[in-house]
Amino acid sequence: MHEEDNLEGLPDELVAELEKADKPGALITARVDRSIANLAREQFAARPERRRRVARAWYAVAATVVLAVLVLPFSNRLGTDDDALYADVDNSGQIDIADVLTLARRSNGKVSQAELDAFAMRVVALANSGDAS
Amino acid sequence: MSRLNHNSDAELVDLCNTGGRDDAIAAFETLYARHKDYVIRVALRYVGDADRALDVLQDTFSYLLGKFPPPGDGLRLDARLRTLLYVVAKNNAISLLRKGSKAGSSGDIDPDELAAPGYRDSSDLVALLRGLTPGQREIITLRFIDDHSLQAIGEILDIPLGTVKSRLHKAVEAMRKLPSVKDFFEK
Repeated sequence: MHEEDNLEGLPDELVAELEKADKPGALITARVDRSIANLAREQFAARPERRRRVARAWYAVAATVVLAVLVLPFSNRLGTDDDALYADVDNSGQIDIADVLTLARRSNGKVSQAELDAFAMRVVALANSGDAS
Repeated sequence: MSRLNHNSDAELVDLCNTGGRDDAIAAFETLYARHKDYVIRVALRYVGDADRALDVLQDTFSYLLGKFPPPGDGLRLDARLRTLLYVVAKNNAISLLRKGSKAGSSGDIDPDELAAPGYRDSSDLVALLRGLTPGQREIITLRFIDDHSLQAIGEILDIPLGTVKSRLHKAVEAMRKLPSVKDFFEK
């Protein structure tokens, strides 16, 4: 129920009875499910495979790590403007390069390459300082 | 169990819009698994029999699929997905009934009857709601069975929020007087 518009109510038992009465039997067969799944496969057949996208993300991260290793010795401190991005994205219990990959995979373009690069550099910096948690 | 079961509808729609092939297929299948029972329920309220309800189900998810590229331009989800699915399923059901009416010999279907659930079979829901107008049945089911917000109901029925409130109030008042459910109000 939506709290903000709880203006009219029916007794809970009546609502439960209505819900019960509205439930259809098992109408949707495995054949129907397969038919819809086939439609989806046909529809998305022209899309590039996920593997390529992940591979591209790997290449990007690898390049960033190399860059970070080269640049870090000459840098006192990395950017601190958006700490919210530097999180344990994959819930592994530590912030590492896998989090950068996970973020790249999940963001669907919402996180820029520059932000991913910065994240990767931060991860490398933490690893070098022994601060990674 | 899909690996995307924990993703929200909006995230799944995003994957269908822009994800890679495997992700898009998995996302769409998750959306289908999540909402197919709802769509079949909506369809049954209008068409009243299993065969036609299954047709409505397929048409509804085909429509949704067609929104994603290619060839669609992508689906922008401004409201709950169920709000969209209700409208699409209802329109598909009405189209199907109209086609059946033209092809059959039972004469035209009353458009007023098509504007809200007709409950053509003798289900329990019919018994509970007998005595309400089709419009009252629809607003009661949208609000209390489907759990749509008042704003979403306004979008579905294409009426202002004030009209939703007024119609809902009248429908609840009408329900209080129904012999089939009167006892629930007196408990």
